[in-house]
Amino acid sequence: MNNITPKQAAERLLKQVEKPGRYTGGEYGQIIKDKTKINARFAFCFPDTYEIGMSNLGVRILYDAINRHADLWCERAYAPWVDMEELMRKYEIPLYAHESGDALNVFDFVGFTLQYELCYTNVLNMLELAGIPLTSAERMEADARGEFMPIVVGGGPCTYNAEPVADFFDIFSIGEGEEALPELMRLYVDMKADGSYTRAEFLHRAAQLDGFYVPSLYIPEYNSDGRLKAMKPVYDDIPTTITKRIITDLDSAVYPEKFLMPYIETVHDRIVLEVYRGCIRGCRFCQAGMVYRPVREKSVEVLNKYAKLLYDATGYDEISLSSLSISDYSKIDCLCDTLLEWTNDAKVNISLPSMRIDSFTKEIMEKISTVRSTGLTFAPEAGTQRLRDAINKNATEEDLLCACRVAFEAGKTQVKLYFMIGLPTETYEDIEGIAKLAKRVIDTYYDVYRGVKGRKAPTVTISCACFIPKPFTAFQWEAQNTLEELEKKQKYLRSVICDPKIKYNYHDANVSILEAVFARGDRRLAPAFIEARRRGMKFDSWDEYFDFDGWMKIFADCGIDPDFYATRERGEGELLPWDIIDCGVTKQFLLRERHNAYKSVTNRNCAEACTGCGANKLGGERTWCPKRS
Amino acid sequence: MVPETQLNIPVRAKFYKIGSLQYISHLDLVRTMTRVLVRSHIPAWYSQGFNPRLKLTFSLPLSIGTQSECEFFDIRLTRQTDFENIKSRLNESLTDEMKITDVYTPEHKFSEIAWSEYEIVMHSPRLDENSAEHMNAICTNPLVVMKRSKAGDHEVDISPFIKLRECESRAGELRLVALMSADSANYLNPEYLIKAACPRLGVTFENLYEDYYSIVRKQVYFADLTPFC
Repeated sequence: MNNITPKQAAERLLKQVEKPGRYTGGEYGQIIKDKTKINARFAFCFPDTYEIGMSNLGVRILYDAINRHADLWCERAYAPWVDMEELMRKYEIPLYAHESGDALNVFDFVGFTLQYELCYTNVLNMLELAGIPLTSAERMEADARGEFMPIVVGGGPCTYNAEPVADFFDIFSIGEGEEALPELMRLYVDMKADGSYTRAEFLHRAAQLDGFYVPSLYIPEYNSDGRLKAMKPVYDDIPTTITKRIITDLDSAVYPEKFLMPYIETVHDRIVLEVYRGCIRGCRFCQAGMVYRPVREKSVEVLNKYAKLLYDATGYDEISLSSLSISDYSKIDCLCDTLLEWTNDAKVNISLPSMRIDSFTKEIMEKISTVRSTGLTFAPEAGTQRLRDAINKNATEEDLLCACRVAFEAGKTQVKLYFMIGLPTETYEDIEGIAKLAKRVIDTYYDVYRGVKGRKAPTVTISCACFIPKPFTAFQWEAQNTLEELEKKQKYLRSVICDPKIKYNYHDANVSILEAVFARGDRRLAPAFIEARRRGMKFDSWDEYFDFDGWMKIFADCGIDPDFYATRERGEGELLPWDIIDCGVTKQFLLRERHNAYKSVTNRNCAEACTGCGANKLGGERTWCPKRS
Repeated sequence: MVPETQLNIPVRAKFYKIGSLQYISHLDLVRTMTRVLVRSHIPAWYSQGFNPRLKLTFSLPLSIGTQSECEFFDIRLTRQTDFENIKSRLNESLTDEMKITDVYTPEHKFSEIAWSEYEIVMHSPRLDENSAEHMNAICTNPLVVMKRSKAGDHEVDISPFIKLRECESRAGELRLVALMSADSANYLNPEYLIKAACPRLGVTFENLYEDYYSIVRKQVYFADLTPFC
């Protein structure tokens, strides 16, 4: 291995692995810089396979945002699949970044985006493969011995409660990173330049920047019953809670004008146009709907400009309008019409992946090109109006049946319906309601085609996830159903479905239990992750590698009670591990919403009236929020 | 509405695909080239159906792990466009490991390709000065391999489909240039030769770090062994 990079070494192995194109880099749009002119290098790591990581919009945005700075260089790395990992370990090839081919352990920063809790074991595996000590404390010791140690940074939705993996990170970037990450790197470059840099001093100063949480500088204390008692900052001059960063004006925010073009097929091979951030709705189970507030829109002009730029730069034949609920964009009709002025001629399809049932109209259906698909997907989430009101879904059965009627009249024969099982206040009547609702969708089809012969039979697919009480939702205090309860409910639903045209599938309840433990856990889970790494756990989100019994054994061996995190109802006055983060939405608001849920009282959405969630204190342009006084 | 009469001008592009792009499958190449044609604004002809598709035809598919200096694809143009201009526009949309080397009007069909020339370089501590002679013998005597096909596995003597042109070796390395049959009935993937020859040369691939090889398609030929164009 003389004088060749780890990537060049790995290339000798590629004839032996599945999908070798995952490991080569070299895509059109990749950014290569001259190392000698770079002041700080950032390895952006996605803790899952290349095909999933390359589809992530956040990675594209941040890759672009950092690389706009001439003296900073952001590269990429992904979790190698098990066949490649085996060979890399056998031939002692460290995990490398795709652009330079250098090992991750020579980078100034190694950043992980934490998109879902079940990727945590991959983070540790990637650190190990890169030859980087797993914990922040070990890295501090190695640094003290004079070894070069990258700063390990985490970002993404899971950082709203990343306490379970806090020991493995030096810094968390809370909120939107396109301004924050270059700022953090600038601090590093400046401290290196003026000679004030030490690892400890850098972490201390990073903790003073807006939106950066340095977990080692906050010491948790626990009550004798195991509940969190306090989070004590070790310095007086760092904030006691970390307020998330947002980009106030999305129109002027950086957005990539080129996309990296993967050669191999990825999960989302299309132009993704981010229309707005946040969500006006306030569904009480939804974390994204809270933590991305306040809603900030982009203007039609800016969106159209980027759509054209990206079409010219990519050659993709599909533009996906991305946001949490696309039909809630205030100018959705205008946006579609503006895009359609040129997309039809360019043979580009527009897809709207997140339609609400109460906004699915004939007009929208005709505008978007879904000609080729035979089905549509809607998410009523719950089977009865009472429960839909309790979760503040604000959609009625009539809305759903209307939407299905539009779809059927346009010739669709398949409808997929998403539901959740195990929601707070749920009864068996609510579960039966799921089957009844699906039956009424079938009846609607036959109503549309009454008297018409030779029609294909419709299919309604019910897809049921298990509810997970997530931090920063109105249900963050709730107990998750036990495994037995969830499985009993899943079986019950099966027993009340009597029409063969209704297909039923549901998520593995085991996965949801583990997710709940990770989502609401605290730092005492760290030994379990270290043990999981020792036992070779990885790719927990992949069915073929998910090992529930393995995890339960690890918890038992580490003296961790998963029920303490998943199925225990939290006291309303209890200090929660994620209270150290301020996402804008206040705890008082979430509590109000929790009590509204118990009364099955719905609340209005941001477009109708402000319900006082508190996120408007963060500011923002083109919001629905009342201006701050 | 009757569509306007469009021109339909056949155009051939010759290109290379080397380095890490050897790991891109044929299907991924087709998808990539479609996007490249779109983003370079080449006035390419689309099928005139309900679901228009860009008309794009490649010559011989290339196996994953094989590089090539001699690949072709055909498109049709709806507008008279300068060939040099097409070449430079496509190249702006491509990376260094895949570039267009020529654009011209095709005169021959891809089905007229009968032979491919490959350069194979093998590395292994088991190879020495005498390896070239061994390789010569392997290629000139009957060489029976198990060939996989849709109809099942069957034994085939591949030696009639190999014409060894050059072969030289030194300590640790063997380099050969050979023509292999490329007509659709007897298409021979060079991997078959490597897989059959390596055990006889003592190359085991137990250590992928020591034993590895590269394959580059250098040229393709008509049946009379004149270069295809």
